[in-house]
Amino acid sequence: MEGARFASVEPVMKNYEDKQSILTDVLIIGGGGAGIRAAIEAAREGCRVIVTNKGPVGRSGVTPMAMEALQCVCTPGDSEELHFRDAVAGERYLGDERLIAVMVQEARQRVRDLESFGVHFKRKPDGRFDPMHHPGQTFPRTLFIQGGGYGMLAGLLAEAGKYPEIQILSDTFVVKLCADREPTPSGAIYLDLKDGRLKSVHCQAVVLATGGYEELWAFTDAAVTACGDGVILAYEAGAKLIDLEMVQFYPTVILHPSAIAGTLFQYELIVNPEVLGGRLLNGKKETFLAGMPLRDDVIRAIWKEIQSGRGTEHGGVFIDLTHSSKGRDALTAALEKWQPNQFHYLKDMGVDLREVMVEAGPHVHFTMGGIAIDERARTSVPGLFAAGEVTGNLHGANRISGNSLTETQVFGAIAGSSAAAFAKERARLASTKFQGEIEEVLRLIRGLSVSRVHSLRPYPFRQRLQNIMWERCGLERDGEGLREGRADVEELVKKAVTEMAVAETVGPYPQEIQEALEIRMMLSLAGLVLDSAFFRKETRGHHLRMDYPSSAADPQHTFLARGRGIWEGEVQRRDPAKWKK
Amino acid sequence: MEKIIRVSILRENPATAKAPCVQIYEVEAKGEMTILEILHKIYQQLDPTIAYRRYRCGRRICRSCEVKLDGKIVRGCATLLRPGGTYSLEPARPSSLIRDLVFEFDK
Repeated sequence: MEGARFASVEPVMKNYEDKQSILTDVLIIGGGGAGIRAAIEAAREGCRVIVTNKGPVGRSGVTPMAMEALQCVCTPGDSEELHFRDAVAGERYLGDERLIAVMVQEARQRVRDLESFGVHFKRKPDGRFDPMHHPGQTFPRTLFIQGGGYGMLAGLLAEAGKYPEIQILSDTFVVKLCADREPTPSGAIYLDLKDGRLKSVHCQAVVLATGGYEELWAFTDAAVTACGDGVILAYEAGAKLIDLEMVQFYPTVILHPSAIAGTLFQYELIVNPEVLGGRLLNGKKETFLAGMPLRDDVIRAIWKEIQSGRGTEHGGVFIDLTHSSKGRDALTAALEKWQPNQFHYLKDMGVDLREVMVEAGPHVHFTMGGIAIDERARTSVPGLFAAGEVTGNLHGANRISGNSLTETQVFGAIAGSSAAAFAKERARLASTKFQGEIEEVLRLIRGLSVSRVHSLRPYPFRQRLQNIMWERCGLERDGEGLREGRADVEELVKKAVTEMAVAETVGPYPQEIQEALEIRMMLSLAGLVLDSAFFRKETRGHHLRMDYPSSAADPQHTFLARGRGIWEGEVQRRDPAKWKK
Repeated sequence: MEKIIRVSILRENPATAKAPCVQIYEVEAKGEMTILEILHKIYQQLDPTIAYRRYRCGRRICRSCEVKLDGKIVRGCATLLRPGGTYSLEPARPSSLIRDLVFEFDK
């Protein structure tokens, strides 16, 4: 077996000969909150839609992991203008103000849509919304979605099910976009995990909605599926990327015991005296945090404790609800009201937060950078649209709690509508076979050695990459470390090309082949993230450059595109006068 | 003090002519482990050909990791197995099997 090349691609090849290619108007890659919302909008405009999802739809990806928070103006005295101002300031003035304005202005209508799809938001006995007050909000503005992101997605899927135009393909991993005439995409190649075969889909327009790239780092509370597929697909198609260095860390992700490690518990609720009335303590059980700061500031405070030798045994801090200012009964009621899911899950796993402190620490939680879009969710490539976490210019340097689910709904709907309009306008193209693209993917698969030597398998490559990114491009960064990280990644790329090996498998669910293809994408993207982090010579939001500790007076975006290198560009501002009636 | 958790997994690949078979894995454990942790360990250290869903939503809500444990359907992310124990794992929905423990939800 040693040294053999991967041989069992015959079913893959045969299948392509079977001409199992499918045809649609709009292809949506990613079936989370943004993708399904886009599908509904495109179908409403009369388009046929295919949605692909790497795992089972509704049960994979980043949306089902999302907490119960969706930000939308709903309190008397509050306004879209205040939501806008809170976001601009909280994002440390790096968010694209055109996009922020669209988000705050369309949030309310998208919430109404969700309600019409059967999604429930927590309301007070008098029928008004019962929002939470999260850090950075002038007024309480975080609507509580019953069932969190999972519940929201279930409602969207129920609505999508009413449209015969929408076909959803679960367990479908898109590995390449195809174009008849550059650069507008006219289809994609995907690995169908249900039978292990490569197939193609032809379309008039593409929406990328694959979520983030948190999986590049060793410590993340996000999904294993979040490999940045859409970002690299867009890059390969020639689209402009933006602010890839901007990665949001979440302060309180459980570190121990291992069975629940990686589980997020919302610090926004822990430290709020009105909600859980708890606190964060360092390893010496001392308080170190006052008030309810934004995520980037909490991260820094925690990091300082850990770096100063005041961390806990597993390198974090304690979440402490055992001394809640609310008293036991009120605390229990608050946990049941605001965090019923996490409370019971942890309790059943042996961690009753009312009784014990739990160790938690910063993890990569959300990737703010990604594909650059405009107000109509257009990328710089005609016919290629993007929405949700895969995009890069809405959340600046520090996303505000609750804006990500709002983003999926506002920009998902826009992307669906824009893609539908494009698809209708586009002249029908002669259907080509994408033979060249298929061959390219087949070459990658055939290039894999067959071996059971564990050190050469995709999984250790993934681990090595994640460790490089955590060490060199994690909470603290500096020029030298980023350069070394880049060299380490280059080396890993070379090794992956010549040595990466998989165990021989035939037929459905080719897990290691999927992982090998993912790692190829992740390695490319990691290089771009390191380049972007090196390029931004300032500290802003979650980007902490030890060699450039201050913030530039006039923040600039980091742009990047294939063949064009890396450059800086102005942040789009919005005329404040526009808010006046 | 390392102990062993023994799991027998019903394996089936519909693409091959081979009949379904039960394969036994012995996983070293320092203490209780979730089924999902055990499957990760098997995939990473013992047998890369085992098919299971790796996704974990972190909220015990999505059911992606559902599996039949000793005949009863449980969630892999939230079910702890004890060192010293012997357990059997089978796909939760054999009628829509993709391979080993992975099945189709939409079917």
